[in-house]
Formats: sequence, structure tokens, C-alpha cells
Amino acid sequence: MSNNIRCRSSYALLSRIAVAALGTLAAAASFAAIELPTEKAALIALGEQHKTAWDLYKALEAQANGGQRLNPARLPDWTGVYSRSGVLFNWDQDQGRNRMPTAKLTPEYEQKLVTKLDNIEKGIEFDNLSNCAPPGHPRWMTEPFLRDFVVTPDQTYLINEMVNDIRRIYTDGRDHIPELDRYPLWNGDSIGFWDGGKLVIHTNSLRSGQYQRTQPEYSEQVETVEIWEKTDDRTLIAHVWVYDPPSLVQPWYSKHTYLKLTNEDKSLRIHYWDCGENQNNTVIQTDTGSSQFRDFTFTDQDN
Amino acid sequence: MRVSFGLTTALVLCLSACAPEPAGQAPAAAVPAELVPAEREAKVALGLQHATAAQLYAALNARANGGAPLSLDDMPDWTGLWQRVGRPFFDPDQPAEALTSAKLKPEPLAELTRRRELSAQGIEYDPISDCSPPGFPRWLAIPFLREFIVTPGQTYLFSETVNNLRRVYTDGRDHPPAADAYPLDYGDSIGFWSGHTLVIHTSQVKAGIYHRNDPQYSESLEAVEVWRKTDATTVLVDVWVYDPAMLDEPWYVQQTYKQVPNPDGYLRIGYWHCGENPNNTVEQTDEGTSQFSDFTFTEQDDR
Repeated sequence: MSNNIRCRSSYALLSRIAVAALGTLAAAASFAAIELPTEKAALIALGEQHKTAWDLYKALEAQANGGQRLNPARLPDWTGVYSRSGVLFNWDQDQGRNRMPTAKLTPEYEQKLVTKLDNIEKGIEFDNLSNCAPPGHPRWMTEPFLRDFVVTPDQTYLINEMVNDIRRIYTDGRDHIPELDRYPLWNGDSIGFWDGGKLVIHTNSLRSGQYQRTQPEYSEQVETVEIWEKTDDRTLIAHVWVYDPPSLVQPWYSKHTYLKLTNEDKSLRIHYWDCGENQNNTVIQTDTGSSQFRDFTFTDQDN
Repeated sequence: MRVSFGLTTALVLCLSACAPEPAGQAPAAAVPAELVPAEREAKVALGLQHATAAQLYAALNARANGGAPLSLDDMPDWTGLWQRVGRPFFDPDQPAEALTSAKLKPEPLAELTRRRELSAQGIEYDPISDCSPPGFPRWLAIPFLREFIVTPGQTYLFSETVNNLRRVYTDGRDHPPAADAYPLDYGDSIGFWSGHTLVIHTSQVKAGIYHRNDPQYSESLEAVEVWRKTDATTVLVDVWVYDPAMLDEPWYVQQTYKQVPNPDGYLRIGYWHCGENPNNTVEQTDEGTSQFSDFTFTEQDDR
């Protein structure tokens, strides 16, 4: 056996051993330090153990020993086209058909919600989305339509088709924008870290808004912690804790599920969402708080 | 774990020692040194050699031996924030005194001449004033921030203006069948990688204008783009536009995007809500100029 052949044989053998060893290491590295309880009551309690979203985030970060930068050669596979599963307009799926949500609201925000629901029952309703405004975060979590999730080592993009709504999660170790430079943003400012296959996110600098059309409002003080994880080939789960002292007497925990859509022939593709091309827009809020299409009159034929 | 790490290190060192010499060996996927010629005249000629964008794309694909899928082990680094440089024309290299460098058919040439004359008189209307998307290929020429997000099966080309996101499928899928194809703001883009060079073919676009003072294009437009990073802060794109309804011959242009310095990471792209500008809605008047709807300048504004 020539030295060249011997070296090639050794190379092939050692390659297999090295691949196996590296695979073992990679698998070990993918173990998450953060182990979430399975019961909802315990997940709610986890939120209550921390006074602010930032406190919860820092506690999770400490538990994960600061997290790990993703290995560029072994990224979590979140590819595909997804859609939110569950009851469309419920922030927390456990609300079911109940009129009021599972949130522990402050009296002021509870009264606001009651008034809103009363008006909706009378057909008086206005939603900024009707006039092409973005839903903003955290409402972003509950919107329908298509989504894709793009994982790169230092940044993850959470994309919702509706109004081309992209959240950027910085996982490169950067901090939030300094307090002096912050101002309310539609999707806030999100930083995060990876713990195995779990993406942990903290979001602040948000605008006030509503969780959904029949759900409570939140204030500009709202902050969230999310833990995203792919639990099987077609399921992404996001655990969300919302902190908003003006509207919530305690953090509001909920779980959101996004299911991968069947797309074997790859004909399902997300396109640009030009909200304004709907001729019914612009929608205006009337003095009574209801919605009216601007410069749009139904004809007898429409009626 | 320490033992495994030591073992793996030893294996890697041994493999390095035994690894075949790269000199004289053909790379696994042979990549032509230059997919396209370096000189502008030769690039113009390359476009002329092919009757359609699809034919040029097929020729480049053949020259690249079908291309090779990206591997997570060897990804092009196009991270960061980018901005187009050059004059505000689709062809940044067109002479200052020229109407356009495109070889236009008589009718679009007359239309452009008339529009430029009106523009000189202050009579101008641009659909993006009313929050419409610029569409492709105008996307290539608009200002503001950009991101280029490369993943193995899909590349996302993002422009901050109205959250424009082009999706380029590099997973081997074809365009939708002709029976299912219809005009889209950004068309349908498929591509392949040749080394770290991305080649794209786009069809199914809506009609539009290349830029405010540039020609119109029709729905029959198709384009081939060749994207590559030429140094740490530069991405260059060669573009061939074919539009038999408007162009006498393919229009070749080169776009340059420079990385924006962001050492502290504070520069972040937020959601672009075009409609929150109270000057919108902008309408086109009978005269062809622009008017803000329901908006009157006060005497103070006029000062």
C-alpha cells in the first residue's frame, strides 16, 4: 500500500469518526438550558415571579448562561410558509367563546374593553388596519394570513404577509437602543438570544394598540418576552409574557401556535401586500366611532 | 465533554495533515471564473446575443453548469445595511445630458419626452407618492436602506421603502405555470448560485416606470440580474431588462449598493408605515400633476 493510498484510507476513516464526534458535540450544544414547565399555571407563575419583562428576560438569559451564538453551519430549520392556528381573534386561545379575555386587566382598561365590546355588538367598530395601518406588536402575533421565519446566525426575521410586516430580532449580542434615543415603534425594538433550539426575545419601545379587534388595548409601556421553539416538523410555538402596568395587574401569559402549510409543489409564494390597492380604502373613523369608506357609495345594485 | 473535544481536535489535526493538497485538484463544483464579462460594452453585447431574458438566464445557467446549491458551511456574507449609490436614474451611468440610455420604441420615447417636459414645468405625478410600491425593476433604483438576506433555498432582497421584500427562490423550483401566472408588483423570481454569485430571472411584473424621470415599462418585461459582493462594502448587480413592447433592444445597467457603517448597531430598520404621513393621500389631477387630498397649505406654510 503506497503512502498516498494509506493516507487516503486513513482520511476516509477519520473523516467518518470526526463527523460522528462533531455530530455528538453539535447535538450536545443543541440542548437547551431553559426548561419551561408544561402546565399553563406554572408558565403564568413564571411571569409573576418577575416584576418586569426585562427581569424575566435577564433571568432566562442567566439560566441559559447567556445563550449561544447559532452555529452558521447548523441553523434551526424554520423554513416554509406558516399560518397561525386557533381562534382568529383571541389573544389567548383559552378564552374560548367567553366574552372577556384571560387577562387580569386594570379597572380602567377593563372598562375600555367592556365599552368596546358593547359598541361592537351594536355594529360600532373601527380598526386601524382597515385603513392600512400595521397591527404592531404584540398584535402581530395574532394576525391571520401567511408567515415565514428566516433564521440567520445574528438576526432572525419574523415575517407576516399582511402589510409586509417584518420583525427583526437581533441575536448578535447588541443591546436595546439607549433610553434617550428610544421612541415608540410599530414593532418595537427586539433583541434576543438562542438557547439550543429556543429563541428568547425581549421587545420594548412599542406603540400603544389593541391585542385584536375584540381584545383589550395596551399602552406604550407594554413590553414582552417570547420564547419560540419548533416542536415538530410543522409546528412553531411561541410562549409570550406581556407586561404592561397601566393595563395589566399581572403579566399576561399565552401560547401561540403557527403551523407549516403543505406546499409540495412550491406554488404557494408570498407576494407584496399593497393594502392601498383595495378600492374600499380609505376607511375613516366616524364621529360615532364606527367605520366609513371614504368617497364610496353603495349603489342600489350593491344593496 | 472535555475528552470528546480533545479527541475531535486530534482528529481534525490529523485530517489536516492527511488532507489532499488543493493544488491541481478540481473543485467539487466547477465555477467559471467570470460568469459575465467585465466590460460594460461586452455586457451590453451579451444581452444582445439573446432574444429573451429567459434565454440569457438559460445561457448563464449552462455556463455555470447548472449552478450549485449554497451550503451552510460556505455562505456569502451579505449581512448589514446597504444603500444604493449613484444618480437617481435606473441607469446611474447614463450621461447627464441624455434623456435615457434605453433604446426605446417611438411611442415610449415620445411619452418620456412629454413627461420630462411636464416635469420641467413642475407637473409631475408618481404613484409612490400615494404609498404604492415602486415594483420591480424600479425596486433596484429607489433610495433608503436595504438588507440582503441569504439562505440556502431562498434569498430575501429587502428595501426599507414601503417594506419591499423580494423573494428569490434558489431551491430549484420553476416559475408558476403560465396558466397560473399573473402580474405582481415584484414579479416572480427564481435563481441559482454560481459560487457566491446569484443569478436571477424575474417575470410576471406589473407595468410601471423605471424611476420618476425614466421610461415606462410594460407587463411583458422580464429581467436577468447577476448579484455579487465585490469587496467588504460593495454589492454590484448587473441587470439586463427585456421588454419587447417598449425596448428595441435589452437595456443593460449596473447598480451599486454600499454597506452603511453601523459600528454600534444602533441603525435599525423599522416598519415603514407610508400612510402615517398626514400629507397622503396624494391624487393625480386632471392636469397630470400631484395634489394632496383634503390638505390645504396655510399662509404660514407658504412663508
